[in-house]
Parts: sequence; C-alpha cells; structure tokens
Amino acid sequence: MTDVGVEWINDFPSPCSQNTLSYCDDTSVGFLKGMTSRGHRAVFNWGNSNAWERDFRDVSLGGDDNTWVDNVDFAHFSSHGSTGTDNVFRGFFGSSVDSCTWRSNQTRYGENWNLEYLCIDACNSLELTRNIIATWQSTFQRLHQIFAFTDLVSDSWWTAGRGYNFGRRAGNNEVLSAAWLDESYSWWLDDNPVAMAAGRTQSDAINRLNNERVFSGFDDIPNNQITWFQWRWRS
Amino acid sequence: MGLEYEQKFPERIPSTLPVYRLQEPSHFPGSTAVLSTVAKQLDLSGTATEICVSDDWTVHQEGPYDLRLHTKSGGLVYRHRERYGFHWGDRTFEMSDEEAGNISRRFIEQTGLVNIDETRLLRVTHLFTQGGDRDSQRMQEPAALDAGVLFGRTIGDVPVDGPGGKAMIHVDVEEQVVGLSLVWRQLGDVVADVEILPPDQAYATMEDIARKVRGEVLVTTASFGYFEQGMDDVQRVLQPAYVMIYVVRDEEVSFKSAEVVAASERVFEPFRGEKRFPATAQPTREAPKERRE
Repeated sequence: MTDVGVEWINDFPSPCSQNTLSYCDDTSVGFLKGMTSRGHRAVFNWGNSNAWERDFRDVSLGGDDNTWVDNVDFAHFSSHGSTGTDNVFRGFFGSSVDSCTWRSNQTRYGENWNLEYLCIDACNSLELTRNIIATWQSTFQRLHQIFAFTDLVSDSWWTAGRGYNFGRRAGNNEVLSAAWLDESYSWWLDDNPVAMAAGRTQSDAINRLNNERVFSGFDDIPNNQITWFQWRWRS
Repeated sequence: MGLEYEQKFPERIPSTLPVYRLQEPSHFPGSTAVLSTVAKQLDLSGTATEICVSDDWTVHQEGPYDLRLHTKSGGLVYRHRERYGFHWGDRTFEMSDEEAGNISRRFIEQTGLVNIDETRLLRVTHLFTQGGDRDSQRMQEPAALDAGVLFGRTIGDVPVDGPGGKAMIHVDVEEQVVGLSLVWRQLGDVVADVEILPPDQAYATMEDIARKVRGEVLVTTASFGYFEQGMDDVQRVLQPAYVMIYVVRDEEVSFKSAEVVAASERVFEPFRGEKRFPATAQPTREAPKERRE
C-alpha cells in the first residue's frame, strides 16, 4: 500500500496574488480518489490557504518536508508553476507559510525519508527548454520519478479528469510513466506531459521508465549513485 | 486588460446545421460482446482470457493485448502491453510521418472501427525520449519511440472539435500498430436543425474573461464545429459550438484554458459539467508554532 498526499491551490489572495485557477482541486483530489479507490492510503489533502511552502522545503533548509511531502510515497501538487532561466522550478501557493513559492533547489526527497514519486500538475514543471537535470538533480535523493509538464498545461473542465485517471491507473499497479503520459496528454489543448527517472546507469533509468509500477519493487538510489537521468514525453 | 487573437473564427460558417442524437454506449454485460466483436475486427480471436469490469471500464484481455471500452463514452483503448510505449535501448523510430500515416489509415480501413470517410489526418505525434549524464549534464539528442497518428472527425463538411471525435493510432519501431485510443460516438437520428448564430457571443465571452484576469490574454485557437466530449463523459447530443483556446500571461506566471460557447440559440445539453472531484470544506490548518508567536 502506498501513502499519498496532495496539495492544491485555486485561490491566490494577497500577498501571494496570482490569477485564480479553477480545477486544481479536481486534479489533485481526483488523483487522491483514484489512488484510494485502489486501496492506497490518503495521508493529507491540503488546499488553498492550507497548502504551505514549508511542506515542500527540505528539513535541512528549515522546511517541514519530513512531516509532509517527504513523509508519503506519492505526492501530488497542482497549482501555477514556472521554471526560470536560473533552472529553478517554482510552485505557487495561496498563502505565505513561509513563502509564496516552493523552489526545486530547496527540495531533497527520499533522503532518510519516504517520497518515491512526485507529480507536479503545473506549467513548465519539467520544462524541456531549460536544463531539467540542473533543475531537479538535487531533488532525487532516493526519489524515483517525477511526473510533470513541459510548456503550459491547461486548467479546464475538459482535462481536469487527468488527476483521477492517472491515480486510478497508478494505484492499479500499471506502468507509471505510460499511465502519466496517456492520461495527461491532450492533443486538443496541447498539454505535453513528461516523465523523468533517475538511474544508476542509463539502462537502469530506461528500465525504470519502461517498467516501474508502485508495487514493482525498484530500489531507492542514493543521490551520489545516480549517474543518469532519462525522460520521455509526447508531442 | 489585453486581449489579442492569433486566430479568429472562420468567416464561412453554415447558416443551419442538424443536431444529432448520439447512440448510448453499451454497458456491462453487453460491453463484453462489443469488445469481443471489436477484438475480431482487430484480428484477435474475440475470446477473452480474462474480462475485468472496473469503474466505467470493461476490459477484454487476450494474450498480450488489452482492449478497453469506456461505458460512458463508448471510447476504446487498445494496447499491446509489452510493446506500447516501450524503449528498446538503441532502437528508435525511423519511419517518416507519411509512412506512419499510411499504416494508420490502412489500419482504420481494415478494422472498420470508424467510418474512413469521416476521418481527416490532423497530426503525427511522437513519444520522445532523451537522457543526460548527471555530472556533465550533457544531454543526448531526443529520439522518437513511436508515432501517434491522430485522426479527427468531420460530419458532412463540418469538423468535430473538442477532446472527442478523435482516433490516435500508435505505430512502433517495428512498424506495427501497438495501440489505439478512440472517442468516436455513434451518430443517431437528427434531433433538430438549428440556425447558427454569428460568433458575437463567443467574442463577448472572451472579452469578459480578459476583463477578469491579470495580464495579457492571447486566443491561440478560435474554431467552429460540432463539439464532442472526451473519454470520461456521457454525451447524448452532438451540437455546434464555438471553441476558443487561450493563454493568460502575467509576468513570469502563465496558464492556458479553453472556452466553449453554443453556436445555436437552443442548447440541448451543457458543454461543461460539474466538477468531478471538488474539494470539500477544509478545517483551518494550524500555523506552525514559530509563526504563531
């Protein structure tokens, strides 16, 4: 059984002002329902002002990830996002605890803790026009895979079912990368999902993308043993 | 407020169009017979080694093949479990888009899953892969693993827009069809002929959206056609609509969305339903101690 936690934000009041989104609850809560419908365990579901930056930041950097994001096996985040020219991804919150954005360079997942899979349903989250190795390599501390998007991703009723559909298939022990790419690709709205895995070697990373499921038993790779990242996407 | 159009609605729009009733998809146990028939069309035996019913899906397994029918939309998904989306190390997809399109068109003709006369080739997509060395951060060139050939639907001369009315056929490195996703609801009777409104209301709706957001709005697609819903949704009527896809840019933060506006006075069915998984009210979360003081 996998422990699952989700954080989502539709409303962004001051001091974290951004445009309102409409379906981040649908995607994150849908993911949680998809997973729990297959027997996995919901650990937390924080939305809007209850979703906090410190839940994502590593404990060694003053955050609280060991209690939240890094204390579950599968975390799902749905909100605004962007990756700048500095190759840092920023995920946006509707309240400032302790900041309005979490940043990829302050995340260390899996080290002495738990997280194996991170899904980021936000724009530019595995942004292929940036250096995604530079963006995410320090995050992979025994973390296995990231599921996210390159370019912009739609916030719409017609595509909001991707969260549930991915959760249902992931929870059903299907190949994770295939489930993510199938359920989150939209030719119509041009949503381009990306799945990224770390490996001890190139063939190890490819094997994980080809075959890893929540119950397939791939082991954790300490950050200093990772030599290769592999990713795939449809466009 | 900033509102710009990269594309405007077509100038030639029919004055009237028929609205079609859509046939209800088969539910379990009838869905198993449908899947058996489809399996034969796909050159399988039609005898399942395992049948599974889960949520809105009925699944027919036969050897390495999965064939799934969605009982809300009648959508079909076909996969070769061991080959669909698989990366065979140094083997990559070399076929031209034209060849992949031809293989896919022949597949449609041979299987008869949809009326070939209703299809139009929209795009050839690819599943790409890329890797990079962690220390040097040197990256390989992207390589294709398959072709996902996307067909759209037309009824008469009218395109079908939206997430439905689509067939994607996956051709792998061995030039075999190893996957299919299809949302193509069966037409029934004509419910009514409706007069098509000009796109004024659609433009007004977009202006209203642009007034409410921060930043600049760019409409990247403005199209007219029948609107068909996606895999997960019940749809009883196929009716015309104006569709706009737009991007909102507000400094470093952008997002995109879509708006669908009826193209006739009479609307037979809403284009957008209720949220599927709305969040329930949450208790106020207690702030961390150091922030409360």
